Amino acid sequence: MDLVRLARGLAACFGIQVVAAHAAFGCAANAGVTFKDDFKAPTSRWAVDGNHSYFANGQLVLKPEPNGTTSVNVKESSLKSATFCLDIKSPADPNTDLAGGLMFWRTDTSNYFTALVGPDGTFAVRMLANNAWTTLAPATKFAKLNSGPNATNEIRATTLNNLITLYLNGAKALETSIQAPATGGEFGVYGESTRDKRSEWYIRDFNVVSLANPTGQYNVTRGGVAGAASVERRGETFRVVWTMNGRSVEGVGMLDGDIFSAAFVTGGEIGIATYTVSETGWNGFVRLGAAAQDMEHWIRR
Amino acid sequence: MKGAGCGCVLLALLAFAAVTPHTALACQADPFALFRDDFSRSNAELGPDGDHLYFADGQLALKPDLNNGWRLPIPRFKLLGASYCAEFKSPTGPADTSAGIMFWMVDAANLFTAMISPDGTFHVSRKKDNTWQTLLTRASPKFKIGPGAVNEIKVITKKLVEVFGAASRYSLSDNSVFAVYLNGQFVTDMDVLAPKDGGFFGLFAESGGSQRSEWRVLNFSATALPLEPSGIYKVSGSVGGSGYEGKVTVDEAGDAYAVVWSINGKSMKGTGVLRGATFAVAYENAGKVELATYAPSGIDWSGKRTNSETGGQVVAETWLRQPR
Repeated sequence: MDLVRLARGLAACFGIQVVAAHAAFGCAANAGVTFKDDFKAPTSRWAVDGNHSYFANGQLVLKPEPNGTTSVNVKESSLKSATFCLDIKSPADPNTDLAGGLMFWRTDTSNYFTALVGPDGTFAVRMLANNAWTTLAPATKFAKLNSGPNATNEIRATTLNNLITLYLNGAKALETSIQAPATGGEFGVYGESTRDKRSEWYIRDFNVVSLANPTGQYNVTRGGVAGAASVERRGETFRVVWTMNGRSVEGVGMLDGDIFSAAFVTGGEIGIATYTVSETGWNGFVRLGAAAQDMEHWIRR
Repeated sequence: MKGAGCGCVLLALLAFAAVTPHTALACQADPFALFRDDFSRSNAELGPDGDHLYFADGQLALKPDLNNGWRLPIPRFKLLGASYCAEFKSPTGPADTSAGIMFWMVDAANLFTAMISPDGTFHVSRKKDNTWQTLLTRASPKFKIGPGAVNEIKVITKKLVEVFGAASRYSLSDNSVFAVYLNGQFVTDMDVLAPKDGGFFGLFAESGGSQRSEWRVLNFSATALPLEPSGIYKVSGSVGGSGYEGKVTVDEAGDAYAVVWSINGKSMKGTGVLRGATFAVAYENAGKVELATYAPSGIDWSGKRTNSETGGQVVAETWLRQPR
């Protein structure tokens, strides 16, 4: 339990650092992004239809039918644990009965999640499951949101297993439990029109960082023993080095979705380690020879 | 019913030998869980109504009406083979109340439950076509009695495989098995005709006739379990554009699996572990450690192996289950 608390504390600190840096950059892409688009040039990754969604003036435009909705996914973009960031401009009309923003964990046209902002300075989180909407976080006023026609806001959401954290214009707005689909889903954007006319939402920068990237340096705890681990990519595999009790062991790893596995040999015995992405790094089990498995926590440095 | 005379009983035993190691972990947070919630935050998708279901003190509260039950199916997730674990805090008041884990729920009229009562009684029941059938009722010495006592229920469900007719291939059996653990100790297992595609899962609580009971749930998790990997497989893959075929055997070895590849007269041995739907195997080849990971594909497996001889490139490999 203490480890969990410590991890959450570190996560909070890390979150603050990320947001602070992020606020200075907006949603412009930094190094290490999994997907990025500043919309300066149209790409075929977005499933635009040219009518309800299209590229114009260096932006992605969503223009649903009156009283309708439009969503555009990035093709073949399935992710489960990730940080999404987008800059979105509200429609020019003064109506406020609409919302637009991020779409994530999309498994098909009838099943996806949204994290939305409205021109009235509210945010909401909703889920479409089998074509039926469920409100996961009701429309809530948030002081950091810009409101009114043509207001631009930054939506930043982190999805991690069953936890969603939402930052709006750099300020934390929501942390809530929502179960992810087993393998996550595609991401994209979503917009609504007001009742009597087609509203236009403008998306500027959009970038995504997958959290299921094992490459890096970690502090490690295993059964009360502290140590370190480093992971570097080698083609489709990874080189893993654990340093525990002053001894280093090298292994080979592979990534399957949100699961990172590694094999190693030490003391003449073969070991297998499996981890899944956590708030602060990776958590999992290590088994060496015939010994019982130990839980191991990796906290990213 | 397919496969009369199949080795279902044997396979059930095999399945639960693999389950045993999980008991040591109890409800310890499983990083590989498909669903897990410690209820420290409100979860709107669970449909809190402020009366029968609500969040309080970092816990989930279930408070059925008098003489009634309250179901909480976890939305969106339908499972056949799975491991479920939950910790329940008993209510104050009369003992004519129960709460537990619900699984293989097809609809409100067809489901299974494994439940406890504050007096130390343990119940396994099935609701079929809206009629309850008690499969087991017994007192458990492992049960903590009294108001506020915390008990852990774990249910593991497994689909079986069988070979039928003269076919040379295994197939899914119509039967499934489930095992129940209370506070980490095995209580019972049963071989039943389960819903073909599994069902939804969740929590269930009942109140007696004199008082609405408020059960608290401290945490709940569900981990999807693929078919048992133990068996014999025909293996095929390709290295550097050249295909290969051979045999793989997988046998239980404590809380892991011993894996042996036999390809072109060469043998490679490894150790595998099952994590959620991923079967990961560490093995040695020509003095170097290698890694393989597989995902279930029906009763078979497909995945990839590292190959030190090809640098960072991996080898795609498929395992097709064969009769023993």
